[in-house]
Amino acid sequence: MTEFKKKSPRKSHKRFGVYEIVVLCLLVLYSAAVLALILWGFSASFRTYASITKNPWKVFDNLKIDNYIAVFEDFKTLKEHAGGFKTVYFEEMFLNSLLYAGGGAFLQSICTAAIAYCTAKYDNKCSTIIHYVVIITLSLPIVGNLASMLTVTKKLKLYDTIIGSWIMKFGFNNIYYMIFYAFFRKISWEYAESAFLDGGSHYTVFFRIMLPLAVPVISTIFLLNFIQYWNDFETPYMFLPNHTTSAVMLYMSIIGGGGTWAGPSPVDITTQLAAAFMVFLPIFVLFLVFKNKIMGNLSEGGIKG
Amino acid sequence: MDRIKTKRREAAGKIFPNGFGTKRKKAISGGNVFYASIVALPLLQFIVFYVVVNFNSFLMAFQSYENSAGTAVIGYTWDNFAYFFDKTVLPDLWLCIKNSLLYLGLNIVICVPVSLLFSYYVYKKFLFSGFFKVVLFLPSIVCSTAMVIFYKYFVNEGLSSALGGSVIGPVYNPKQQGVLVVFYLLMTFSANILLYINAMSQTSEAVVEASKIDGASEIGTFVHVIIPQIWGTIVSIIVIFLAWFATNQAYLFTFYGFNTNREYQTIGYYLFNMVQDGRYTGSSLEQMYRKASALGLMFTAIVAPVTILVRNLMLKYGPNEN
Repeated sequence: MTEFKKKSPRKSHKRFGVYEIVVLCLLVLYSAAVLALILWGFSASFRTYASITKNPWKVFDNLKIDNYIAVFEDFKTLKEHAGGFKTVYFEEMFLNSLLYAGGGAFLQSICTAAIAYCTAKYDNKCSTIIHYVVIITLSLPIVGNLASMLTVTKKLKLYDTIIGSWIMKFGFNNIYYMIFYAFFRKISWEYAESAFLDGGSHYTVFFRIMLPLAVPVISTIFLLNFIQYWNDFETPYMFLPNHTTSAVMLYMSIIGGGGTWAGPSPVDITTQLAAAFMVFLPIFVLFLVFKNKIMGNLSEGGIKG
Repeated sequence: MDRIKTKRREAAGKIFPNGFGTKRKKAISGGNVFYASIVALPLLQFIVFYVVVNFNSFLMAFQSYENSAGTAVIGYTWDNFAYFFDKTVLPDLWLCIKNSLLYLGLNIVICVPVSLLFSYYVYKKFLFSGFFKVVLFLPSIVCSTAMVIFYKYFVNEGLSSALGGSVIGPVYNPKQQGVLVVFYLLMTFSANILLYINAMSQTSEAVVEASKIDGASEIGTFVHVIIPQIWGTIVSIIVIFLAWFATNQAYLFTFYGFNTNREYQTIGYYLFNMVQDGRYTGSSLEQMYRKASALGLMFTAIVAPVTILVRNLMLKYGPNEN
């Protein structure tokens, strides 16, 4: 039995049964659909609308980068500024996305890690309560509190501010708490004891020993959160009307304007496709660079392999 | 804290038989201060953004609101709940429930089994599994608004000759529901693949190999060995889908904004739309907030116990890994 444990699940191409053939066919179909969608969109983003309507499948016909240049001119919104309105272009929306996604992802990852460390390593009533609160809130569906959230953020003056959006993200009751909790449970407390004997404090143990040990988990969860918030358009649309992010901009272009949209209405579809790729590109690069980290075995026990 | 105290005493006994020096004693006894300083702000955030928000949502569901009297709450009423039983609103709500049930069914009957089959294929590292893993993960990293743009024009322009013209648009088209469902499946198949693969990678390889030696087929190993071992993860994902029943917008807001044809609307979309556009039914924004809270409360009262019941039943009567 010990022998089996050492083996990893492995390349079993030699025998092709019914299961493999059926699933392979399904996977080929799925992959073809997803890739056709993205690649067709990519080629269309370099074409003119006339060329697409004339022959949608002539994917290398008349390719130009004009649509990408048009994004910087056509994609604009208005924001309240000094008693009037100011036009916001793609670059500022991109920066808003970076601030919203980067700040929110960083704060949520750190906050969740810190709370999980406390509950995993300090056995007291507060830790028990926090632990069960997370489990209950994660499994208890609450519907329709968006209106209340808007009311509360407006009352606290957090509405429509980037800092307010960060504070909203600075929470611990999310699925990643369980991953951090399991990770810190596995780390031996002997590290802390040694630090105490050397005169270190609880802060020393946390900041100099435990957090550095958790950096691989924190960075993976930061990346996952960053991708999620970069792509999120509903929260910024509802809570950050004057800080339009690039995802919100794309949404406004889909519905043909509305709200603070100041670009042409309806937006040319080829420009929309170009804008969609410009929003997708940073995440795709991030994904390619950190592919193994993002798709690695992030499990309740931390990171494997 | 007890564990820390015990360990501290043990360490003190070994190294400092006469107790800690003042400096060391001070450092180690700062545990409560450290704990409080780390936990205080996140707890405050939780109290404000979970406890207060949900309590306020509960209150709002019963509040009556008067704009003409200077925008103020003037009392408590059942009218916000009664609004949804009005004969002009109820048919729309039934359509939303019907469509939400359709998406719930798709999630549980199609997405869960197919995702499991895909995950097992990748986990076993069959032919091109590395490539498929990346493709399966792609819809999760592409912004849903970008995917909607690609899909919308792919269908309307690329497949227009096959589908007989543009299908996705504000005008009702019987083919449109099917096209929306296909997009939903494309996006949702892959959503939980990583969780399944990770759960499978935690299973005992010895048991899998033993089943092979006993002559089990790939399907047999998958059904009788893998599924029971990852049953907890499967239950968690089904519970998430159930909990999602009343919040799932099925990408309708991304496709159409606040102008989705009523035939396609889901409860999640209906609720979100009420809040994002208070003029939806001609009422004031603040009045709409209160009606949305009432509808949310009604669905929470239904969905929460069902979710917990299903979870407990599945864990109790589901396959056992032993």
